[in-house]
Amino acid sequence: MNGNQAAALAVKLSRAQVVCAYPITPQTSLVENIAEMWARGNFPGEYVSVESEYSALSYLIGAAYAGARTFTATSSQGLAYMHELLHWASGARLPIVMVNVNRTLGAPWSLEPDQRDSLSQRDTGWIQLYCSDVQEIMDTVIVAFRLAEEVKIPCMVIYDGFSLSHTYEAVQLLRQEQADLFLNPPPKSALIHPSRPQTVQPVTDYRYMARVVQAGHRAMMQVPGRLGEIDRLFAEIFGRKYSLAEETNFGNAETIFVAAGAMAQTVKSFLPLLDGGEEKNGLLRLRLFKPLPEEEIVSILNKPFIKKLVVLDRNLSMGIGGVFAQEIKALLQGTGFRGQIFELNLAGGIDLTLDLLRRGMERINAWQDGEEKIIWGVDL
Amino acid sequence: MPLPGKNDTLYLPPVIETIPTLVNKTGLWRFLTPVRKDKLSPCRALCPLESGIPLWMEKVKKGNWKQAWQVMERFNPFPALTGYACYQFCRSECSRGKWDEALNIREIEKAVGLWRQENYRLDRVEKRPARGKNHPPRVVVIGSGPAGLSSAYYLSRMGAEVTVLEKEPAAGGLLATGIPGYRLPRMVLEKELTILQDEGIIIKTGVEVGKDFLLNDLAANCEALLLAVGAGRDRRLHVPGDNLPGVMGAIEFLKEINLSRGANVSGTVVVVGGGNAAVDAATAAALSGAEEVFLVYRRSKEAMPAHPEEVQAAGEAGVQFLFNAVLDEIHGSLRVEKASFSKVQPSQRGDEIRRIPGEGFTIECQMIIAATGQQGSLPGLVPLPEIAAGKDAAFLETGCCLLAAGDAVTGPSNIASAIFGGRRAALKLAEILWETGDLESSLLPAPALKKGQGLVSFASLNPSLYPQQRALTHPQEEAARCFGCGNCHNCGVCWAFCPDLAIEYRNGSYEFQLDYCKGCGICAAECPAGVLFMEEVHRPGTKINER
Amino acid sequence: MDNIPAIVETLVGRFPQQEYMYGGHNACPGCGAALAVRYMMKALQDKAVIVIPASCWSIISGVNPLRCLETVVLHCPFPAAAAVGSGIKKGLEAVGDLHTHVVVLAGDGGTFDIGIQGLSGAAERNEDILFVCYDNEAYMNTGMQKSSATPYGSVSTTTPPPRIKQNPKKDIMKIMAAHQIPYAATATIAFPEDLLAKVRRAMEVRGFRFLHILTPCPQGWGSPVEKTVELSRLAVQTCVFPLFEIEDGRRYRLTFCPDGPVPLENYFRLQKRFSSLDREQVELARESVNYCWEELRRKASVL
Repeated sequence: MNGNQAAALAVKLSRAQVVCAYPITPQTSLVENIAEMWARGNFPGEYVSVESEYSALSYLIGAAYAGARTFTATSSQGLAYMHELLHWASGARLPIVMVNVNRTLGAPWSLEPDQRDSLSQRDTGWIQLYCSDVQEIMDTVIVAFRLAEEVKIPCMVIYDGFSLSHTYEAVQLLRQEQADLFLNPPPKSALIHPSRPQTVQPVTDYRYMARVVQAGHRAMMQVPGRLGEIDRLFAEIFGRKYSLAEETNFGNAETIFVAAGAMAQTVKSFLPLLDGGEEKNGLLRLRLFKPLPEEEIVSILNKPFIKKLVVLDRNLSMGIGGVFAQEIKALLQGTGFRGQIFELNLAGGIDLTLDLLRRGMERINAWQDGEEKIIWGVDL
Repeated sequence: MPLPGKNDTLYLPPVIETIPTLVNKTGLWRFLTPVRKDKLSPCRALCPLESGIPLWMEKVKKGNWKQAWQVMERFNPFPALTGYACYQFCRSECSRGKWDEALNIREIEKAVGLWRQENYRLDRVEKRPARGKNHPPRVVVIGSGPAGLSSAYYLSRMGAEVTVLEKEPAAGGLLATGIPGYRLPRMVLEKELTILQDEGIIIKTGVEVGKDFLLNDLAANCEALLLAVGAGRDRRLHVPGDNLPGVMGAIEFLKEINLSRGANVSGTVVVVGGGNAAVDAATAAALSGAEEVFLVYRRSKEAMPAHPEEVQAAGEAGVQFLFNAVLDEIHGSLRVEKASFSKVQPSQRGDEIRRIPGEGFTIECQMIIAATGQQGSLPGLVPLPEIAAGKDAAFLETGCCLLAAGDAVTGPSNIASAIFGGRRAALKLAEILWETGDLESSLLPAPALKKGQGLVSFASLNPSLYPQQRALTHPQEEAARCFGCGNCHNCGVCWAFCPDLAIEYRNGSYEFQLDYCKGCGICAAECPAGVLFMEEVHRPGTKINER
Repeated sequence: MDNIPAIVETLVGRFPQQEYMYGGHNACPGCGAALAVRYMMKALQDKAVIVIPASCWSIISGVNPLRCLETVVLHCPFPAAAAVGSGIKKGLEAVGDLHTHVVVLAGDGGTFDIGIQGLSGAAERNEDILFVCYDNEAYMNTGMQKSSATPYGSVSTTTPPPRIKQNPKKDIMKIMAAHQIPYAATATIAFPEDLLAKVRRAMEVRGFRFLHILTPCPQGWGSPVEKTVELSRLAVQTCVFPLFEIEDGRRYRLTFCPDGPVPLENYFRLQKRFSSLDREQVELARESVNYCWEELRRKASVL
């Protein structure tokens, strides 16, 4: 089963009531899978094929206004096209769940799994969960529904185009009874009715607006805690344990890689190959990116034996550098962390190979004061 | 499945409890305020009865004939009579005439009158004791013309015992003797008289004051005497031969015809004059056996005082009109044989008559009808000159009150004016005969209009809401064409077009909610009756013109 | 004469007395859009929720915490109205409410311009909503900038004289007809009974319904505030804005046929926005109006 199929199946198991999407490579097969199930009567909700991503999210905003459980999926340009609505959905605190399959934003056209699309939506007030294998995609979609409905914040489930969306892996299927146990039953009453006059998201002044954004922030700060609890529940029901930030090989590693998505899985498999089993290298995988679980990450990274952090960014905020690297630097600021933070930048969707990683490490190990701390994958 | 130990706050924004915008007093934005002012409709302004035409028209529109009659009655107790015989002055300036076609007001009035005659119910009004007496006032009305009858009607309704005296054998005055049957069917008049008698009014015909009764004897036995004796006798022609047999006055002639005394009309008839009486007489002559009828008038056709309707009817009856000619002499040995006329220069009313020397003609004729005006019969009858003015009542030694009304006061006029005179006299007498406040206002006839009530202008109406539609024959449909100029009839257009919901329907009428009125003025612009106006009204906190 | 607003007759009883809107709303004096919605609500009563994208009505409906409509009003981003409305309908059905109508109330910008993609999409999917465009022929909420609903020859702050708008108004009804939606109609505030009848009619139809309401804007059009209704009437009488309905994009029916067309100048004269037109340009405008009117009459088979 590939990533898109896993996501589609999870949406079905989550009993989403309204699914609305616009096809875009590499998300297309996800939509097709849902449409297929829907057409055959194997889907519990309604699937609507609209004329743009903009309308897709608008549609779900409407459906969520009414109180329905909603899902959409997109990628790259499509996500960017939804931008204003991302803000609207989070401002209105609508628990919409979305899959974003990472793909490069134009121009020029490209299909590589660059993360710039999702990361440029960092400040829209959505929760972002990055998946690193197909099993996790299936699990995370269900978790996302639970999480979004718990905290009333829309949630984005993100995975890499092609390397996850189209890559087949063995997956342990979830069963409907388990999913029903894990999730609340889908809503069965409307949030709005003409007999109860109200105004939803009216024009307001700064006083109320300030409350809205403050409440949004505070709710967001609840997310790591809530997700932790939901992960425990998930483990209880499904037997698979996830953590907010996953550490690998931290025994006495001097170099820690920080990565998200499929890249983390790749690095994980490279770890023993890099140092010949000396366990000098560890990995921190970012799962919950927005909001970053500050406490967990700091306690994981703030260890005296760690000399170097190498953040792998398949994205770039031009003029600043990789987004993950910037976030990690900001997080460790003032914590007493003494290691050096490097950035191996693969923006543009460069595929991470063992060879490339080795060459990158050579550069980092040979690094001298005054040199740029961004190691460009494109130059290796 | 619930999460273990979950009791954190959700951190949702505060719930918005929305409340209606009614707390928002947008009326403060306003600098013009809608004001309702009823105005005078052109029809009412022209009506000798000052009839509240738009008011009863409104009831007819809804098919509520009873209410229409109730409104009508206070202005005009005899809509059936006026509906046939009034000259319909109201129609000439009807606002509807500027839109498509003037409303056929008289036909609707007639319909109300005929409804009343059909649906007449005897609801005798309780008699009310006169001021300082323990019996109802006794009123004697001399003359049963329209003025006499209308005052009798109102006084009887108010609670007086009314007796009407008529010297002719038939009651109705000019209604019976002066207006030809083709204009006012006798049945209609008869029915009206029957209703009056049913209401308790005693009508005595064939009794003449001075002959059968003495005024003083009458005065001794009543609280009020009302003289409604009409304008009286025909003026003589004052030309040589005007005393020859075959020369008659028009009033006299019409009386002969209408009372069927068998006036012998034959041969050629010449009518001299240009008023309604002249034209009526000419028409009557033409319809009563005359071979040829000439109407000779000293001025041009446009200057004729007769109503155009009458002139048209005369033409249809075969009357030939000769304008710009004056009668010089009537020739004949034993009776009229011919008359000679001079041609004069065309002139308008008020101009001097100038004969054209040497131009004349003669007409051989068997009858000449003089219709050059009437002279009053009042002075000979009335002992006190001041009541001739009709303004004040005089009191005789017996305490009887004396008042005059109708053509006796105004000179020859028309039915509507005479009814109005009777109405005004009745109102005047009511003040004298009863304690003020003793009478319910609904019993009183409508008072005369006060001066200074502005006339509604066509520009202030909004006819656009009415489709262009020519006159209709069905009275109710025709009434629906009435704009109701100057009179709010709760049509609700202002309410319907108010964008600010600042007009509400309450207790049967539309009221402004000035708290929300932004003063846009759509209500005034759209009002089909022209009764809403935008005015600068000072309010605390708002300076006019300084917004 | 059933095509005449018979409101001249006593309105009590004939025109619904019940209001679903409150005074104290934020519309400018003489606002046509406020009136249009007041009428619309009389027909919708408590059977519909209203979706409002950015437009004058975002403000008119009340600034937090006030509301002027006695129903649920949901605000949404400018281009999103048709899709949000469709989503609400689908969402309501999904949670078990099959009866509540969803009405989108968009301005001409949210319909002709930025909203047309969503509108077209929803129309093509035949979503079960009523899309109402109250058309004041420019971006009035932001101060009279030109939209594609602005007619030829109009001045706006973005088409200042002498560069007045050179292109005709987009014919949205033709666009909607081309989608073959079950019901589309035009209406305007001077004919409230017609407007009400069309909203009621639209409520009886399932599928996508479109109502185009012309709502004069005194501030933007530069017309006297009290002439709002008169302008609306003139627009119909001059055939600038004919009243008609289209079923399934095919069957046209005129709901009002002016007796004798009123000269276009009567309409233009009341509005400052047309003050820059010279005689030749008025002729051009007249030709265009006549052409469209004849074409419409042919389609409605009254020629």
